[in-house]
Amino acid sequence: MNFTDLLTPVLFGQILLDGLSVSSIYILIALGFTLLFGIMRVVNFAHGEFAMLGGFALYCLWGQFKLPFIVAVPLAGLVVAAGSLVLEQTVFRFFYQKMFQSMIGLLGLSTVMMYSAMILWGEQERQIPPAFTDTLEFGASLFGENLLLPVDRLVMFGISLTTLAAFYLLIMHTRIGLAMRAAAEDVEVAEAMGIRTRVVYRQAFAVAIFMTAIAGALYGQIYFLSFQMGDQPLLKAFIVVILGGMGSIPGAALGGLILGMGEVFLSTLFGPSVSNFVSFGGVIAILICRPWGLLGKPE
Amino acid sequence: MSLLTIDQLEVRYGPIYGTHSVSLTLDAGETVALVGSNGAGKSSTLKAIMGIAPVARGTITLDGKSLLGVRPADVVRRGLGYSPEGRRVFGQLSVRENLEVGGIIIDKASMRQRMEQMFGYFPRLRERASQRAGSLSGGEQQMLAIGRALMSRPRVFLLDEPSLGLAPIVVERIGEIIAEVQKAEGLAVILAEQNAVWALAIAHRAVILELGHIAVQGSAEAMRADPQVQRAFLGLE
Ligand SMILES: Nc1ncnc2c1ncn2[C@@H]1O[C@H](COP(=O)(O)OP(=O)(O)OP(=O)(O)O)[C@@H](O)[C@H]1O
Ligand SMILES: [Mg+2]
Repeated sequence: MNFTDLLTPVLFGQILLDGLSVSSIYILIALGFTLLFGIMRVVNFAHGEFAMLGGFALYCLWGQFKLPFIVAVPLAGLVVAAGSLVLEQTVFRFFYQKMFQSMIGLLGLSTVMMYSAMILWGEQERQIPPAFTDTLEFGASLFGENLLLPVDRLVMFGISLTTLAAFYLLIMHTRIGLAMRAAAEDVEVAEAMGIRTRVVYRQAFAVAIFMTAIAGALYGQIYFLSFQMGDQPLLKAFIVVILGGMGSIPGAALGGLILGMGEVFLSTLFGPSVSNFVSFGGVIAILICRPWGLLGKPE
Repeated sequence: MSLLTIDQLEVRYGPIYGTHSVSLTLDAGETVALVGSNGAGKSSTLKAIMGIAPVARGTITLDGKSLLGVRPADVVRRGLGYSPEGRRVFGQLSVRENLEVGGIIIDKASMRQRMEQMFGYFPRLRERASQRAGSLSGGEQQMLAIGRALMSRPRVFLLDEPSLGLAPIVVERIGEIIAEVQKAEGLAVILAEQNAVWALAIAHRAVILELGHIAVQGSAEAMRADPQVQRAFLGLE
């Protein structure tokens, strides 16, 4: 079988859309992870559980309360982010600027959150009902066959892209973002310039969890919903952030794009085992050659 | 009453003494040099004023109100500006963004105006406004660290070791700018310096620290003329 025969323009187009929507979800999750590390120096091993909470929030708001989908997703993010501030106050803040302690502590939190979810919502896997079932078809005259774009995927991609754009604006063009970037570089000096780091930490935390919960909601809709679903998002965040460089925001974007695109291309063309093999192989190779990641800085 | 009064300040990092007993006063419009060799306690004194270093004993008051236990972010709001040792500009941020961080406590309209003033004092920073601060030369970074601290329109400016590693001509220029800002804004300055010759040349008064204690103090003029000071601190025979 010839490779170029296999990869028709139509298949390519479909893989591209799939890849982009998966990448944008990975980027959102990884940005949350890298933000918590870059500013507060916590390694959030409970990250996947916040994604899971996003999934359950969407299940409630869209699946049960029947809110319009494009309202339900951001609202799910907001609800989880607001609720998570309780954990910020009672758990996370004690681990700020304590990288190693945070790993152990938040690993524990992850387990607590996971089994609380099991007790609350049970062990069964659930499906978040699809938001849109239509498929756009076009391009037959151009490519000889139709390009099929599921509206579902387009909307997801639109939502995550909008969230990413909002995050970019916040970080690059507001005082809140400026304070975050300054604190990420030098907390002591940032504070000596008048930045209240306690406030900045809380804001960064809420933003990070907001993005993660939105990503988790979309992730839960593509795959399934269960108390254990956090493992995968955490793993993806880890790979992306290691690829791109711990704490680097452009690194998370680049890493997410590479991982998402790579996974979708490889698993469509060669199957999931090849795809997993290559993505972990790639991470190992990068850790050997550039331990600080593609866009990170050597410590 | 002086603007800033420090009385018998003892800074301690656990078992290690930063200073044992430092007392000094500062009035509006004057520069006091804090001179001494490595480990004398200059940085510790400035950090204690900012609320960064732990104060074990003594008092620090601004306008008669204690600064002890006030968090650094609120010390800034009381009217202090701080340029730390080693400059510590935000290397990933642009020059303009560094100044914006310095002006984060003032509203946006006055910040723009203030930034124009800073560009007036430091024309080089205007040329490099959108450049990453990490890519500036040492002298330019020092200018930026000073500009950043002045953005909030402080009444008291704490300047730690600005001459470190800079060419004499740049050091001289920094002295001129301090004098210029002081004249225009009535700024009070504490200048912590190892370079005693330069510090005594631009300060009105000086305090010489030795191992966390005050060794000598007085007017800069008198100190420059004092044979003992000349021998011990100015490297003159
Ligand atoms: N964070 C800290 N933890 C422990 N000890 C410290 C700390 N900072 C300073 N010291 C100690 O406090 C003493 C005074 O240091 P300080 O930095 O105030 O001196 P300095 O006069 O600024 O010296 P230099 O000219 O080298 O900057 C030194 O013995 C130093 O080792
Ligand atoms: Mg010092």
